[in-house]
Amino acid sequence: MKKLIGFLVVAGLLLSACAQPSAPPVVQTPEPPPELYDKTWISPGKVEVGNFYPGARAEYPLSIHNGKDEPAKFSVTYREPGSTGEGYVTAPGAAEGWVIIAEPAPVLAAKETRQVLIAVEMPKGAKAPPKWEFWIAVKDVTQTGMVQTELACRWLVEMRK
Amino acid sequence: MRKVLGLVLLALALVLIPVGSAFAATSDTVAVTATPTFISISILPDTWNPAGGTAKINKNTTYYANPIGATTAPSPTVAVGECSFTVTNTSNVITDLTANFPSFAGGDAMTNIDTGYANNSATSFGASSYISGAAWPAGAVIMKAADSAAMKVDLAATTDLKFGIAIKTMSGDFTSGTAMTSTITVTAVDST
Repeated sequence: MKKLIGFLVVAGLLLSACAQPSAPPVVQTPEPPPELYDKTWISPGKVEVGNFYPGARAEYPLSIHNGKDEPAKFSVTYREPGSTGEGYVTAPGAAEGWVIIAEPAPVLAAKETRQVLIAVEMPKGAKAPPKWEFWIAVKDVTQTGMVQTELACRWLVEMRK
Repeated sequence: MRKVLGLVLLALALVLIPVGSAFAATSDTVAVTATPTFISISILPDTWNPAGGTAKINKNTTYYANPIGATTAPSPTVAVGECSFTVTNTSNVITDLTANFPSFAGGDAMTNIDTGYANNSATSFGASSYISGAAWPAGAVIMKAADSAAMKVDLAATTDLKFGIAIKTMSGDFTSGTAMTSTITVTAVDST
C-alpha cells in the first residue's frame, strides 16, 4: 500500500513537471551597427523552426527599433509571403490563426527598441506541408507619404519527418 | 517508509530540473534558430502625384513616376534618370523588395485591376513598377493590391536602387470631383 502511495505521488509530481509551460525565450538582440541608430529596423530577418509538429509551439521575440526622433505606432501583422525560400511553400490558410503576436500595435518612444514575442501554435490534428513559410510584417503606421516602407521577418517552418 | 520518502525526494529533484533540459534530447524538441540580421530600408521621396506637381489626373491615361515627364515612358533599358524614387537598403543583409498598390479610397475610388499598367477598366486602374537597368516594358513587375511578386530580388546591403511606377487610370469618367488616395507599400525581407 505504501509503495502504491509512493508511486502515485511520484507519478503525480512527474506529470506536473512535464506540464510546466516553458518560459518565453530571453533573447539578447545583437548590437546593431551604429549607423542604424537613427533608422527604423527589425531583427532578426529570418526565423527557422525545425522538427515542428501538430500540437507543438515555437516562439521567438522580434526586435523592433524606432529610429525616429518622436514616438511611432507600429502594426505587427501576419502576412502571406510574396515569395518563398527554396523548397518551401506558402503557409496553409489556417496558419494565420496559429500565429500569436503578443503586441500587434506597439507604440515605441523615440529611438526605443522593443521585443515583441511571436509564437506559432499548431493545433493537434492540423495538417501542413513538409516545409512552409509565413511572414511577420512590421509597419510604422505614422508614415504619411503615398509611398511607405514595411519590414518583414520570414518564418521558415519544417515539419518533423 | 524510507523508500517512499526516497521516491518523493527523487520526484522533487526531477521537478526542479528545467523541463527544457530534461527533454532536450527527445525527438519532440522543436528547434528554433534565428540569424542576427537587421532589416531596414528608406525611400525618397515618399510622395507622388501621378500627373505631376498639383495637376489632376485624367481618365484612361498612363502616367509614369519619371522625372523626365509624367507621361513619358522609360527607355527600352530603364535609365537611372527615368526613376523618381530611390530605395536604400540600410539592412546589414541582402534583401528582396516587393511593392503593393492597394485600391484607392475616397472620390471615385479606382480599384486595382491587378494585371499591370497596360490594363484598366471603367472603374479600375492598372499599375507596374520598373527599376533602373531593367528592360522596359518586359521587365516591369505587376503591382497588385496585395501579394505582388518581388520588384527587386537580392538588393545588396547598403545599396541604393532607383525605381519608378507606371499607372493607367480608369477608363470611366471621374464624377465625384473629390480626391482619392492610396498608399503604396514597399516591403523588405531577408533574401539569404
